[in-house]
Amino acid sequence: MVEESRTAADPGGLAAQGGELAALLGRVAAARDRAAFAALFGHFAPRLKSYFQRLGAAPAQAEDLAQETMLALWHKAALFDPARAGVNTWVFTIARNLRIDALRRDRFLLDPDGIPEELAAPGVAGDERMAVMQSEDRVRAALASLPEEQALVVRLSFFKEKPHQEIGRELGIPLGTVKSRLRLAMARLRAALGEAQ
Amino acid sequence: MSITHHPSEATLFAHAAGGLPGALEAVVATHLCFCAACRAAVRVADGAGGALLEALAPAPLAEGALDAVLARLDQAPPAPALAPAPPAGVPWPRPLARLAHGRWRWLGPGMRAMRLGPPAARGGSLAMLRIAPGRAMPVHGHGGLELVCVLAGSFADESGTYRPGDVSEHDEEDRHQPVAGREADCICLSGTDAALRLSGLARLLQPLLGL
Repeated sequence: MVEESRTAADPGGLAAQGGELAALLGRVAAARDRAAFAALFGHFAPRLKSYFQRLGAAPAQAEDLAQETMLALWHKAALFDPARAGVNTWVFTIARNLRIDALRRDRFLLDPDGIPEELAAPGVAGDERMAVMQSEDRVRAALASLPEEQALVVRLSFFKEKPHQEIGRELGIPLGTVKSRLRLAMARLRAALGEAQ
Repeated sequence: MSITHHPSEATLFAHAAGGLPGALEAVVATHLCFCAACRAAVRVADGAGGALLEALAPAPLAEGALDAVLARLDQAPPAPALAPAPPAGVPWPRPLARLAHGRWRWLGPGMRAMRLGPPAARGGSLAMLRIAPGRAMPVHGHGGLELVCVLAGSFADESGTYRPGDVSEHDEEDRHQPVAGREADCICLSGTDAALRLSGLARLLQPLLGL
């Protein structure tokens, strides 16, 4: 049920090809290629607007945030490292951080770039860069293979402002059950991605 | 450095989703600076976020949205705000660099606290705690979620000993009384999404200290 759409907004089917998205992003980083940026915009901006709306932004605000995310993608393109994350994941983290800064009313100014990142994932050899590139496909497959009750709490985690309590209330299950489902989901996702526990 | 106490998977997912209140987010980000295992878990959760973003039904953009963004590509990105100077003599993890901080204030015998972040924040409260060696902290329960990351020294409670980088996570069902290790001051970062329920002297002082 993770798959909700593959529509006319994405006629080239870029979504199916993480490598294609990475190549476009590479052209943005290396050559400031506006045509490549426009292609990425066509793919991501409507999904980003949808993401911000899901999290409670009004349409006009969601539109602004989608545009700001794409601007940030343009400015940060050189920081994208295909050995570390897939393009969808990287864009998601930019959108998430931007939303925190823009919408969070608690005004805690944290520095998300302050968390160190591994130059290469521990135990991952250089020739496994391709494996990391393909890991978005594996995450997708692993999410699709989760038992529905686990997939549901994962999905709701990403689309709720207060995940733990609200999800429990919405599903009519105790907080502890929400937490244990997320624990099981994490274990399955990590196993599917070959991440040691 | 070996980390033995981690945030729950639910908390790591909430971090990846951007759904944690600021005070809790600060503690998780601090733990991630210490803990490669949780960084790996967060990469997995971020990947789930990427997959969910990709699967969303696209929402049509306004006419001319692409042109509007293309016209702004050559503008310089906004410069990041200047960070306040961190206090001397306290470990100051990088994710905290932009946070405002108060002064050390007396919380009880052998206990001092320094408030971090905006006053009267909606995102819970965040404080650096400094506890003298061997000193017991007030018994407390929790109105919501409490996350504490040790930065120096150690403390112990019913669930074990917590050393630098370790995180204790407690929710409304728990009451506990941490005791600082005897080897040195215990300095830890404590974040809550609701007021702690303190007992004893500290409860009387709580309104004064704004904790």
